[in-house]
Amino acid sequence: MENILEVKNLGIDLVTRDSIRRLIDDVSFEVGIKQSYGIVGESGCGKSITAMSIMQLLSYPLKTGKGEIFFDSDAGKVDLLSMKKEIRKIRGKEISMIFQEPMTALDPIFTIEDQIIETLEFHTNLNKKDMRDLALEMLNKVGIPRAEQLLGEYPHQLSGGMLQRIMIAIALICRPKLLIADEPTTALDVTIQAQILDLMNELKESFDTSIIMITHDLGVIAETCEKVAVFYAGQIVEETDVVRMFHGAAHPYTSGLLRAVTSLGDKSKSLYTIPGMVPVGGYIPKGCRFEDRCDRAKKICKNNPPELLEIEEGHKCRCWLYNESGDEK
Amino acid sequence: MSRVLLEVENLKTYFPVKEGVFKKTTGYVHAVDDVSFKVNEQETFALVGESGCGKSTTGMSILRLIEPTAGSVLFEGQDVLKLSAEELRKKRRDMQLIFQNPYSSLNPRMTVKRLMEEPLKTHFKMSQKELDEQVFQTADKVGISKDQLERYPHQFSGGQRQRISIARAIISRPRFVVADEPVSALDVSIQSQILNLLIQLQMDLKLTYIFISHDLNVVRHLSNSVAVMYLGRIVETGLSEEIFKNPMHPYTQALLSAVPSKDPLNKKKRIILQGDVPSPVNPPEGCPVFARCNRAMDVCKQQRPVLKAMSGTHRTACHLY
Repeated sequence: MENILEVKNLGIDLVTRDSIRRLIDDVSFEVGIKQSYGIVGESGCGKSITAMSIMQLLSYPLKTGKGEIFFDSDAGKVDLLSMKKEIRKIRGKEISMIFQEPMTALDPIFTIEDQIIETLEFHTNLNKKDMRDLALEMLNKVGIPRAEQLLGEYPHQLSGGMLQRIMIAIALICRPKLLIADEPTTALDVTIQAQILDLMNELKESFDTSIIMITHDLGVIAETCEKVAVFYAGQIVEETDVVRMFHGAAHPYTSGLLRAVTSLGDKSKSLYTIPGMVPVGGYIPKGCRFEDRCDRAKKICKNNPPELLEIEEGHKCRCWLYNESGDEK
Repeated sequence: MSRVLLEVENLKTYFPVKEGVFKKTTGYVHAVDDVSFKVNEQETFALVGESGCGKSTTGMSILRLIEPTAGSVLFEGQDVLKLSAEELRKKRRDMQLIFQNPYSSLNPRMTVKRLMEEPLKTHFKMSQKELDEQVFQTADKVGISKDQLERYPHQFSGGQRQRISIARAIISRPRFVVADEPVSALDVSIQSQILNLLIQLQMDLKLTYIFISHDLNVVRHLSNSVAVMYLGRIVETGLSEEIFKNPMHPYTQALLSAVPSKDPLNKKKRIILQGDVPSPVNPPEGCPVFARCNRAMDVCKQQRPVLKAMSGTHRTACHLY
């Protein structure tokens, strides 16, 4: 397997007593070995639940409805979605996750040492002293001063930036092959964000980890990722490498997002806006999901959903503008 | 040059730290420490800084939603801090606030119409007909349609709710509005809609803004003047073009360089600030930025720098100059 992770036709459903609504529809992507893969989109577009489904962290009423997620584990290629309890052996060891809010992701009643070591206790046979040494080594790696003293402290005694470093230390302590970072810097200040992003880039090199970076901030994508998928209303609308995304975006939504961001600072004009809002509450338009907000919508877009097609080598886009069969209509 | 509408002088807001059984005051959090600035009429003055630097407390202190410890806030020459409760209530008609989080700042049990009527009922005596007229007019201005007025806040998206908050702030025809991180909780594509709305309203209603934000891109777009705050103090202030083109204080430089680049081909060289903001309970004696500054000198540790004029209105508090 040349990729570390292959997501194939993933569908995630919201199951209620009398209905099933598909929130994520037909999402497929691959993450290469040592690659950083960015997932970008606005809130509610499904980027977080996609990431959660990789580790089987979805709970009622969310359920994976279809698809496969192949992972290149130590024991060979496995389908994560079909795994039962065995997935615990992979969680935290081969795939780990950093959550958005470091303040709420750590347990307030356990010391930092307890929380770092918990992962090791589950996955390794090390004795207490070795585990402590390893924890200290990790804390030093993520740039935490006075690590020895800090092991005995509780989360409330530390700042957000520090806690996020500890989260990263916990995530990396078993040297996972894949790290999923769900908005790791959204809750932090810009100066701390810069520290954390630099740290992640650095650690990726020294640990040979692949990263899935989930964010709504195009700046974070530009700084850290190699390949990017743009999510809109539960679908990938564009997937390409990072340079092409910023300098040759094909989908009107992507280019709209970029224009909204880059027009900031030019006071002479009013800001570029994408009119309207994201379809809410699982209401799915019949045709293209972006049709009502798109300034280049054609007749065909209203009733016929476009497919994600490769428009050039390594560049996929879900839009009728790039689909020849849509030209005549 | 336009007229000065608001003048803040040596504003200080301290919060006591209480400890022990008898709640003895053991120290003070210096949330706002000796802050002075002027805001011109119909301009936007931005306060920027990291969380905990005192920018929101400054905004709240100006409106006396938090009582400042010392200093003066002159609104058209009248000291707001000396007003009696009744006078202050009347003054609030002219001074309004837009809150950061549109999810928690609207009463979930009131319809949009009642939410919007509330400020009018507080400040004016109006018949229901006049109220209706004002509400319709304002709703139209902020982009809420008439048939949405009987709905409740939970039926709206974040962007729509922020429009309702804005409507509540402007319906009493204020001249001065403090906007406390009005777009931080919103998505990028919605953010630009709200920013455009704020700019439009400023022109139509001749508003003066204090715009509080941690997002430097947004501040750059919107503001005429900027003050960069750190640990309750202003470290650099001036016209926003000057500050963004030629930041002089090492902290401002680092802050600007920390903003992620919007171009993967052109990544910025970053100045990384080490560590975190020190505790404002017992702020360091010398320069507040000392511990994190990459150009710190010996003098910075002992002596606190004061704001010095660099050129025109551009002032910075740093021993380098």
